[in-house]
Amino acid sequence: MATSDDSARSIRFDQLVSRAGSIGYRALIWATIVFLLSPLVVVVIISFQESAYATWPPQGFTLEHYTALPNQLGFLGVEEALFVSVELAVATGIVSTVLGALAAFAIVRYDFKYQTTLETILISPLIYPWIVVGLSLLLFINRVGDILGLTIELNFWTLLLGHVMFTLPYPIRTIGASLQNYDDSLEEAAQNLGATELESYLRVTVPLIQPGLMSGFVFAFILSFNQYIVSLFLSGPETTTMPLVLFSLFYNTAPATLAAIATLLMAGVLSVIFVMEYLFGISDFM
Amino acid sequence: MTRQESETTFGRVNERLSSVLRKYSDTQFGKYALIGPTLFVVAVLMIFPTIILLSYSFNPYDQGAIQAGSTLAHYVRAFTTTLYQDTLVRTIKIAVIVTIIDFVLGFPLAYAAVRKGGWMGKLIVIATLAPLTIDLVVRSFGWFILLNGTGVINSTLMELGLVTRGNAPQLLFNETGIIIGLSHVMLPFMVFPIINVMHTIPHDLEEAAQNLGANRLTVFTRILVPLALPGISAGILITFVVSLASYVTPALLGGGVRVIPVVITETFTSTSNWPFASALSMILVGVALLVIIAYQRVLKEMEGVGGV
Repeated sequence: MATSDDSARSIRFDQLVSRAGSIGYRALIWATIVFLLSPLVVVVIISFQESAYATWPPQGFTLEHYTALPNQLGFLGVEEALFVSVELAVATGIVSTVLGALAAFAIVRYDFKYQTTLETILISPLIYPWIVVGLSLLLFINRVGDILGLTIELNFWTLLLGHVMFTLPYPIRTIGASLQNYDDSLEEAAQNLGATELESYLRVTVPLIQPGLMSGFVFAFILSFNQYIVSLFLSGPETTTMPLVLFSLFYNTAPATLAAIATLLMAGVLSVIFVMEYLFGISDFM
Repeated sequence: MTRQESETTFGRVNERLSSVLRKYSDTQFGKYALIGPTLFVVAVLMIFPTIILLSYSFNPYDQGAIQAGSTLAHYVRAFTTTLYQDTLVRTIKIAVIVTIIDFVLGFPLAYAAVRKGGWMGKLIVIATLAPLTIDLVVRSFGWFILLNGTGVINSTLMELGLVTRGNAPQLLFNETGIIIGLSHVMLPFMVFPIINVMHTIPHDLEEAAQNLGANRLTVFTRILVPLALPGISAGILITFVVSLASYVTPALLGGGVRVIPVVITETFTSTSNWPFASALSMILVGVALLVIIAYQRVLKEMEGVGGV
């Protein structure tokens, strides 16, 4: 019976192809996970090996690159820059989250005539080129200074303008999502039970959308903390940020020292995220 | 201030604010008062500066100074000089290749994150999210360790006897370096919109199709791709336009190979030719605007999906 033999063989062939496909699929997934994590992992490894260079395979184990840091940080400009960056990221996070919350509230609760256009404008900084944000704001600040007849110095506040601008869409998104998830009749219920409008917002709405608020804040904080190109154009002589310093260290310092600084930074950022996740459950809105 | 006083102060503020809220919460004024500040910030910080950028791009530049008047010379220079033509083509080519690589890697990853669930799904989400939170310079530095001449990859290849020091592939300070680094930076932007949309596609559909005799490829091309299209197009558009405008990764991993944002920054910082830097920037703005308009349609299609 040639035909049944043929079909049996073709089924076996199909199974083979399907098995190969599923192994290939699994391999691709793991390869992609390795691709995503390996640049972070090798930085950590290099920070603990003995050589001052990024030699591979790593030789020995030492904490030398870390213990030498306290003497170097001030000299490398890391200390000051870290302070500026944290301050800036916190300020950016707060301003963006407050503005974003108001806008998200308006979008979710009210109907606007050109709703889609409005939403598009509000989230467009998401894909607006960062380099253009930096350059055009600098030209804008210059022009405004010209018109007013004064020189506007680049400082913390000019940086903050740029950082608020490009981080805004993230809180709008996360807070909008958390507002959509809950029923606004809860506010009415609170008011029916005797709460004033203000109390019902502060005691009912804000706690309910807290995860959205917090993840919006964390997003804005991290994006601001890591921002290079916008800061390049807008930072003044006394407001050099951490990414700017890291960029110059890329060329000007021993790889192992940079690896140690980078590892500490990664640990810092990741612990902020874990603490926020533990306290507020921000991952639902990431 | 005694406790009682502070309580009455709060009471007064509470009453005042509440009556304002009551009065305006359902009015036109109320809703514009909410969205106004944010719209104002976006207008003042994005739209006006862009208009000024545009006006600079028409300013003549002569003898090291910006002149009055208007000219298209900077655009002509950008599009007709071989150097800038090459840079423009290279920038677009890199963005296209990065987008393709990220779709090929990102779609299966997003699919696995949603369909596998459990610890595997969590691992994928964490692995995708972690790089996103790390400074771009640090990520580039990681790639430097991996890709340089005696780096992780080349040392391993030499150890295995696959290449020798003489013919080890050059993976850094060229287009390859930029493409690898940018694919890494942009992958999360591809994965998350697809994850969002994938959550809304019932698994039953794929099983039903398979029961009716469709093979995996058919399920992929006829069911998954069409249903995930809003997420896929959002991912592709974001990946493309952000790659095009990236500075840090190409500047650190490209060596002498330049892309448009690197040329813009160099022009701006090392010459006073702001008009030419502005014209090059306006090219990026043009692409971004096209994508925003396309994106608006995507956004419309994604309504209710809760995606990006």
